[in-house]
Amino acid sequence: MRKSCGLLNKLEILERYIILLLGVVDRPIPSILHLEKEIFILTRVHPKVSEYVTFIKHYKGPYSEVLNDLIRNPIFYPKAYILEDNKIYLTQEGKKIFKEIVKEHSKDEKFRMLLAVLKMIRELYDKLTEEELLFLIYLTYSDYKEKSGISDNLLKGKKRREIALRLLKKGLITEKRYKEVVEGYV
Amino acid sequence: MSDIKVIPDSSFIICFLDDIQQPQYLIRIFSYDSFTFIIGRIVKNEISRSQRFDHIKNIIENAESFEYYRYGEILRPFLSIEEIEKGEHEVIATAYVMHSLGFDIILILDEDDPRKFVERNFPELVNKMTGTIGFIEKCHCIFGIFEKDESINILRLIKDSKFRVKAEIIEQAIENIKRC
Repeated sequence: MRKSCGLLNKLEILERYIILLLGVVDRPIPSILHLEKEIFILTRVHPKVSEYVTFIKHYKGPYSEVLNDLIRNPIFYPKAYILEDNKIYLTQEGKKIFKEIVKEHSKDEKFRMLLAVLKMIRELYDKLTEEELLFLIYLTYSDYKEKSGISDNLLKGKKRREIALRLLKKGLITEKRYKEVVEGYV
Repeated sequence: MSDIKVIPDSSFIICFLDDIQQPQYLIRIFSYDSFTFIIGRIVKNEISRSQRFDHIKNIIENAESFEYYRYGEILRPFLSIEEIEKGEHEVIATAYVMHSLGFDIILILDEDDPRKFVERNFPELVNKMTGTIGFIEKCHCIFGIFEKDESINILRLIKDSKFRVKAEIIEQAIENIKRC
């Protein structure tokens, strides 16, 4: 996707990332929080994405105002996706744009790897509830607890054990991760 | 036979270098024409601590690494620090991406926890996944890299080494090798 980036506005590129994330799996993204954190994970996998979006410490983990604005009010692809009941759907128009972007870069192996990365992110992170998602983000990227109003509530005492056990039962964390989270905590 | 991307965890390589101290077998596996090994950054770092790493240094440097993306970061929140330090997240994510790209892959994963994680979350990878013992069995029965006696000898060396595996898994693999 970067080959033609010189011609594209940074916001347009970011909207394209949103469309790609939505398009790799045929279902809506469960919430704005999910989309935001899934793009955050993408910046960890592919740091070049950070050129288009910056995450700051916020009361609900890593936050990007630009990304939040674009989710609600896309500028370059205004009919590509919609927000309904807090879920984000790719529209028919969005599906066409997704296919065009994929076709445009179909011979680029790095782009095809990017699609696989996005799909893997969706397959895992979509399974989490908002609470579980924030729990894992705070545990893993503890810097982002700093301005959080809810991290203490999620990471302390009974709640910590409860969420960790739920994740273990869902098969979303390994037994060792569970033990580390629960037993490593005093 | 077409190209197969083999994505091993560090314990597979450490098994040959340190546990049974027979790097020449590993070199033969790496040299098999149909295999392209993919060794990620963390696994490479982990195995480079072995005193016998020099035996395979050139081969590892020629292996693919696909370091353009840090695939493992996708899985970081879900695995323990110990599993992350061993590169298990990197191995699983790389296998997922390669499989998604349509490559024929073999994922070598020995630890129970990460294997269960794959089974629960990426069922499409289950029949591509094997352990070190299962892979040695395939090296004789499918790929013909080792003769029957050689592969049984390797498994017996592993059985007597500090490599963590149940004795019955090795015995079963030996029986399978005798029959194939």
